[in-house]
Amino acid sequence: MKNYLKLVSFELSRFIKIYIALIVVTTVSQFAGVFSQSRNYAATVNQTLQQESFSLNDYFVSYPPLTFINVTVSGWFIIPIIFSAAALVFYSFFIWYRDWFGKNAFIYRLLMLPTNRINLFFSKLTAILLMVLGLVATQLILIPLESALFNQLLPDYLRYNLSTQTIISSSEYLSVLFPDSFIQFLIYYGLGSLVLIVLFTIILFERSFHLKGIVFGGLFGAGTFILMLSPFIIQTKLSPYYLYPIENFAIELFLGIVISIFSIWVSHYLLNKKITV
Amino acid sequence: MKRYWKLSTFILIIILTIGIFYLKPLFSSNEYPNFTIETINGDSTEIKNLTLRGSYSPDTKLQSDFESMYSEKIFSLSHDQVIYDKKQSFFSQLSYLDNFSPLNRLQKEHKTFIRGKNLQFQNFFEDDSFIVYVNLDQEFLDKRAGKRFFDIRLLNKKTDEELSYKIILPEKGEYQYIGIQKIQIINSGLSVVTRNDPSQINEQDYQENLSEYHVYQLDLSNQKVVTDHLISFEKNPSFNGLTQVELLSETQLDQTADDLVFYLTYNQSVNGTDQLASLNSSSEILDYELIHYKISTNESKKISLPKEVRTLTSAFTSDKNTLYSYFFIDKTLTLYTTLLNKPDESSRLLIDLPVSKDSIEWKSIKNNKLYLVSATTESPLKKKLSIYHLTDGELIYEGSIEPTADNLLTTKNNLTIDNGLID
Repeated sequence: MKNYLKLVSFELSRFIKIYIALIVVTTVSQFAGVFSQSRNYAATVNQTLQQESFSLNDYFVSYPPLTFINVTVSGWFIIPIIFSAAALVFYSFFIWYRDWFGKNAFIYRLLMLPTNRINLFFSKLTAILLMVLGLVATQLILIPLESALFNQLLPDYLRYNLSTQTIISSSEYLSVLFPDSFIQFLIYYGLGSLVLIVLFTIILFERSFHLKGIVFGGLFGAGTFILMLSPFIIQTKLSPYYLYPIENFAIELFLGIVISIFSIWVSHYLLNKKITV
Repeated sequence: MKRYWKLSTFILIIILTIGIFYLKPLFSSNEYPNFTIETINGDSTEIKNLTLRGSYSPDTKLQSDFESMYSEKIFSLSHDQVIYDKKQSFFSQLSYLDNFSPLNRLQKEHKTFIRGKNLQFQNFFEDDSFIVYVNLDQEFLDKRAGKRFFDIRLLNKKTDEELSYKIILPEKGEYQYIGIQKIQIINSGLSVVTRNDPSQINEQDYQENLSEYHVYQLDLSNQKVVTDHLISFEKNPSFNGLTQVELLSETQLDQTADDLVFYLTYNQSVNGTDQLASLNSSSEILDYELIHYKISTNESKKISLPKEVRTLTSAFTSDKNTLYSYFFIDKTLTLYTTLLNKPDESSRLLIDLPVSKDSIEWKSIKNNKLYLVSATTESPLKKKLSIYHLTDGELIYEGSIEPTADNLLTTKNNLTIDNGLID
């Protein structure tokens, strides 16, 4: 346990500078977005009032007030989220390959540590998951702060206040990061973890058997993907909607757990018996 | 553990932030306010089988102009509870049926029988002894799939015996679409009413090819279609615009009445030149006819309505073996009730409503009662529910739909009731 925690802490500290940079870029960009969106909106309203000789009341008969949901669909808001997600996807590969291709082939030292080698696997997996959840939590902290700035920048009559929950559930993008219920949250991020576990096993196949390993890893990935979809493929061919949704869910949950355990077992085997430096 | 304080703090922040986000709505009632139906006058058992469907949003403007951005909170309201769709458990939300569907009861009581079925309401029929399910393997024509067939399942409720049949559908023409409209068991025979849309090749076909309605009588023991009755509608030959026909009779699970009412309309596009445009909302009805068809005798007959209600502003609804025709003038509803077995006799009723037509959000006629939900001037969150008996026009129930928290009434928030289900 101690070795595992040490390794998680170590993995996090290796990425911390880039991670903080991602948080800073997201924060600056989103605050800039709030600022520019609200200023532009106020300017547009003013311009329309002058050009059309509208009164404010007339204006709001034809147009809705601005809400924070408008801000969340702008590039200022979305692009840093996509950028951070892409960075973490990239780092999911890099977290392994840097140990082989970095200075002094660091993997030598890691594999020589007096601990079970599967701890390497778990620590890297935990590190990525914590980084994902850390960014998600950061976004949750940022939204009320950005919303407060938004309320400060625009007078009452130009905006409509919405709660963080409403903003998130109404936004197409944010509702993917923060689904409506906690169970859905566990399902989304559990599925993400499953993909990560399988991806790590594929990487270990490649590291163990090199070119052949790419083929093995590819087959392993495709196999798990088909296995996860198999209840739906079978139903489509034989009898669509045969299973009730709750039954589909139970089967998928079972398959997810089985695939995770199997994938970890394969990784354990590869790390202990096949991995080469 | 001291050396891991950074890691521990990081994990703690994640747990707290995500935990608060998911726990907070449980403690704030304003996001999903509670509504009730308060009985003002009449017997509250009148609303026991009524479920209203509506939506709540924080501002009228957000709701009407901002629909794509702001998601309204949709709910079902019955006499004793309000259920918001989004507040339902994840597992309830997974269901193929929304909680408003009458098929929920069938699914609960006959889980094995309902498994794998196409859960469209009109595909089912239920009486005291049987549940019948009929499905067409292809609604839209797929030439590679071969001939269309009916997939029929029959459950004997008393013995729990399930029988299944496959019967090929004899098609007299080529139909782009065939959809089941109604299933009936009449005199122990199974009849399936379908709407058949002939394949359309060019623009001309849009005007000439009226949707066809067929009644297929099935012989289950010999697995064949005994008769295929095409319900004929005599089009007005002098009219060269677009004629459309629609089935007015509402499908109900337990309805054994064998009457169908069709609404035949003669339309013209608004600009008068573009015939294709008349298929869209830009067409206007120039004239209409109502036709009564009796499944057991295969007879169709034009319904002649009194002159007063034969206006273009009249609306029609049919329930079991009765046709209701009505129109509004100010706060007065004029309603004609026509028993379909005596189509030449209609009784007239005048009902004084509390509001004019524009304030009525939802109306429905069922079991010889008129259900109305109307807006009030007090608050956008307060609606009035009225139920009238259609034999004498008496107001038998009056209720108020309102939030349980009074402080909400003064806000800009908005409530809309746009649908209802009467069991």
